[in-house]
Amino acid sequence: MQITMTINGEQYTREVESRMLLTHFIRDECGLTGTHWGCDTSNCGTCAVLMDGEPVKSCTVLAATAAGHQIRTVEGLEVDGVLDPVQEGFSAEHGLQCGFCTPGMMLTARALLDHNPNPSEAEIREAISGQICRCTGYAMIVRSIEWAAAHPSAVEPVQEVNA
Amino acid sequence: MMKLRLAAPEYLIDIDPLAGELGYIREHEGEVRIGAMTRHRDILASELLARRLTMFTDAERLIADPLVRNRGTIGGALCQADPAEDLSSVIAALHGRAVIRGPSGEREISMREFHVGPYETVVGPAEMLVEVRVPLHESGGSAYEKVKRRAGDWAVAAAGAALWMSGGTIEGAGIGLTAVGGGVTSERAEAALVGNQPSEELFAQAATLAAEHCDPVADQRGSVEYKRHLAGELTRRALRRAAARALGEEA
Repeated sequence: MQITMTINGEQYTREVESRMLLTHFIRDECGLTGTHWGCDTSNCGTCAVLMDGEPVKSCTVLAATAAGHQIRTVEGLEVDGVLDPVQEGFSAEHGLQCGFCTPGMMLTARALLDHNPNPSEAEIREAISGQICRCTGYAMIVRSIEWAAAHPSAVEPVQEVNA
Repeated sequence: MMKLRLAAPEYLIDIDPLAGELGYIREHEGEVRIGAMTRHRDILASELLARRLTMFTDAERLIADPLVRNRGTIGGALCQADPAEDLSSVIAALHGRAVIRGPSGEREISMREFHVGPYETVVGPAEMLVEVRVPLHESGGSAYEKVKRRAGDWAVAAAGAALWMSGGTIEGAGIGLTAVGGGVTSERAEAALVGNQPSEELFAQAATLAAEHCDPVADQRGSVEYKRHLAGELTRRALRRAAARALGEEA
């Protein structure tokens, strides 16, 4: 079947099997591999993307269901070379170690801050409770999101890390 | 269900476009009507449910996680019919009914008769669950208590209680049990409550009946003895909170 959806503002039309999952559509059909594919059972949340602005687990949405909807992936956080405050926050507060959960964590954080610009620590923890960091770096992920909340219009370039 | 290889449909119809039409929570002639495609997050956010049928709010807080709640629907949860699914026992405890629509019209069935077995319901091949109806009572209160191993997991066991009062006496009661086998309610526990005044002794008696009535199986989430203990203890806690809410002592 042929489906069309908008990902990061760009239209993608593809001929796909009706059983194809959104995560595979994004990665394999559109080549946007920033969205990760983890447990495939709605547990780990690394596949989180925004569908019409709300975080969803793309391993549990059929691509056909997402047809006609607006999808935002981690590639859509940076705009014209300017990082999203959430990305800046993850850099400033060391919110990632292996990076596997990071795309999903950042998108959930973006959606949280869109609805609630000044979340409490408990609200941040609730928002990311459907996502697993296999490095167990939750404290720093929470601090990264707090940083983003405190710097809503951060536009400074990412600090270079000493090699 | 498909990814778990529990279902292998030859044809798949995407009903997601019906979410607008079948997504609602409204009060209607002494009951609350919830459309089958109402998302978990909207049930959690409902002020009407929080005020009148608090058990829904209690349960929704602990169903899966926010991302799953953004997509999952009440109808999907009920029709998946997982033995550890929460809303089945919530609605059964509240004496709710399911509205099923098919080619020959609509039929209404008690939530207590909705499940045929694990992953099986009375909804036929050409039918669809379209609505859930839950009666409202003046001086009613309800609560749901759940134990799970970690955030987002299914229940080890859970129990819900609904009470409605007349004067100082329990006029009607509902007990819902989740993930402990033996049906989603305990009618013996309910019968023990009706006509009596709420008290710790009465709740302990009902909790014992609920624990005796359930029929859990041992699995990776716990032993039969542990789950039976939870069924009793969680019933007792849910009854305490339901009574406090019915009497206006607790939000």
